[in-house]
Amino acid sequence: MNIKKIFFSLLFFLLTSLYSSVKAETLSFTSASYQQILANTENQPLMLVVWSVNCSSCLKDMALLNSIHKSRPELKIIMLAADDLTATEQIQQILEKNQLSDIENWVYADENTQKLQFGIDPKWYGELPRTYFFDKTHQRTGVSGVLSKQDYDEMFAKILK
Amino acid sequence: MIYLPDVLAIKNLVRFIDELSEKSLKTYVLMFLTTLVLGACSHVNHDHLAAGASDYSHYPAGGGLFVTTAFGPDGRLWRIVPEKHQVYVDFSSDFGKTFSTPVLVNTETQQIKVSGENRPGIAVDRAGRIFVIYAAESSQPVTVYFSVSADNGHSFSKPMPLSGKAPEANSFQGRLAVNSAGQVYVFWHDERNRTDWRQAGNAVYYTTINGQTGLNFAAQKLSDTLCDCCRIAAAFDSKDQPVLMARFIYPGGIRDHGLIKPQADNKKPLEWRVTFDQWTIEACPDHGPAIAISDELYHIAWFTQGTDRQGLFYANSTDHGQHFSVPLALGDPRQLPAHPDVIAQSQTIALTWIEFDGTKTQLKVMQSNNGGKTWLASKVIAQSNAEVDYPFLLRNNKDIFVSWNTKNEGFRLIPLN
Repeated sequence: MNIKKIFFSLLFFLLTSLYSSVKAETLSFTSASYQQILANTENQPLMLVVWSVNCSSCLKDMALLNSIHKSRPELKIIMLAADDLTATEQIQQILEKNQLSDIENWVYADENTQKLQFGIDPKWYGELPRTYFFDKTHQRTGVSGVLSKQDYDEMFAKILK
Repeated sequence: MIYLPDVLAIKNLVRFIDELSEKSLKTYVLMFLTTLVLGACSHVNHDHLAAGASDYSHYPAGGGLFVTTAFGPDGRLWRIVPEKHQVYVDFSSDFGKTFSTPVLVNTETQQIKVSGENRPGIAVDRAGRIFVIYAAESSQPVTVYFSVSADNGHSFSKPMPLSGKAPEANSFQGRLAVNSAGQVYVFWHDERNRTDWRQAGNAVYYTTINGQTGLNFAAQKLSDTLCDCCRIAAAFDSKDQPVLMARFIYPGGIRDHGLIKPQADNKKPLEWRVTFDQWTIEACPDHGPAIAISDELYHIAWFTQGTDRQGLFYANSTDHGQHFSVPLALGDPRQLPAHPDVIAQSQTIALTWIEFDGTKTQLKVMQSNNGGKTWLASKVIAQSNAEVDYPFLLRNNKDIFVSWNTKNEGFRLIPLN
């Protein structure tokens, strides 16, 4: 293969990966977004996963999230990255690598992240990962830290009944 | 100005493009390259820099939130200010009201990495040499660089990685500290020993820096299994030896704190646990501790969400950190008290932290005049409605101050009394 062919096939690869149709766009999370998410998922159980590209514990969690997403396609999962808009590309890469890129995902888009955090949960200090399990009436339980498969299953038993 | 490797890369690319036959493609790519080169050049036009007030309006990209300050021997307050691509140092001769013209540390543009935990550092030794550290992207996602000014801050040496393994492994969350004899230490999180990512925690490495030749020795390992999202705290004991406090990952995944003391003659560093909150969690708390030592008393402050204790706490030790007093809870637990700092000046001990009520952040301080035995009531000394940095305590030869940077109000240096 000559260099020109490599060049154009790389270009083609780049363009197709950019315009892949299954990938969910990363949405901008502002002070109104949490209520918007709740309104959009009315009468529906939900798992909201807050994570960050800089959080090594969060990255350890991804493989299990992938298997949950595959085994429970009916469960609404939303990922929220506690980073900023400049991390969007990295967020997409990580989600893609873990086959989670079709999941609704958001990124903090207000510089005052403490206000965003407080708007979600006034008792939360911001430690990550932080996972919220909502039943269909949107009664929620918030848990910090990486969860085991058993932890997830126990929470799903509560919210999916 | 362009990096040397960039020039080589561009030459190679031009050679590659020459091999392409289509003339139009060649033109487009050359236009693209020209744009890149012009873009790179526009970053380093610093002719417009001038002195300014405490609000960063004189900074090319508006300054940064995560700054660090230190008093020099002549009483000036020195400050390191990271922007997205550049790091600057300036000073104030009027306790933070106005600042000198910023001096650029990294003349070659970098992607600066900075957060509340991954902070830049600045220290001034007795001879007035200014030492700085900051984290930036390199061939690795994050590398701690250091630079020294031997001419009173008029210019800085070319920034160099602290870690000899920087091309292979991340280094971050550097902590710069200078003892009373003027010895400059730097400690940081280092991932060089991480082979299995399921393994818990990071190593901490350290070295010392001098003003002439840079590093005194290649980085040495101090300890393992540090929680990788919490910055290290450092103080010096009565023998002027460093004592570190850090969040460790103890067996069972408990993220409580320990102290580390390097020993002379290549003896194994001492390390022991000092907080027992039983915070069992696999998470990134992003919440490092604080330590101060004076008159043989050790003072520590930390955050936990353990099963035995939740919130912000202070304790002291009269036996060089072997045993600590019953933890004293700080702040209003309904307002998320966070990010403490502690300072000790003989028997005067001061604590600072921030609290958030949903709309505004309050800066609180609390003082003891008897070595931490009893405390005066805490008080709010400042507040902010927008993004805030952590508060830090520092002192000149007379007074104690809180250094606090906030998005709306800019930099503030607030005397304690």
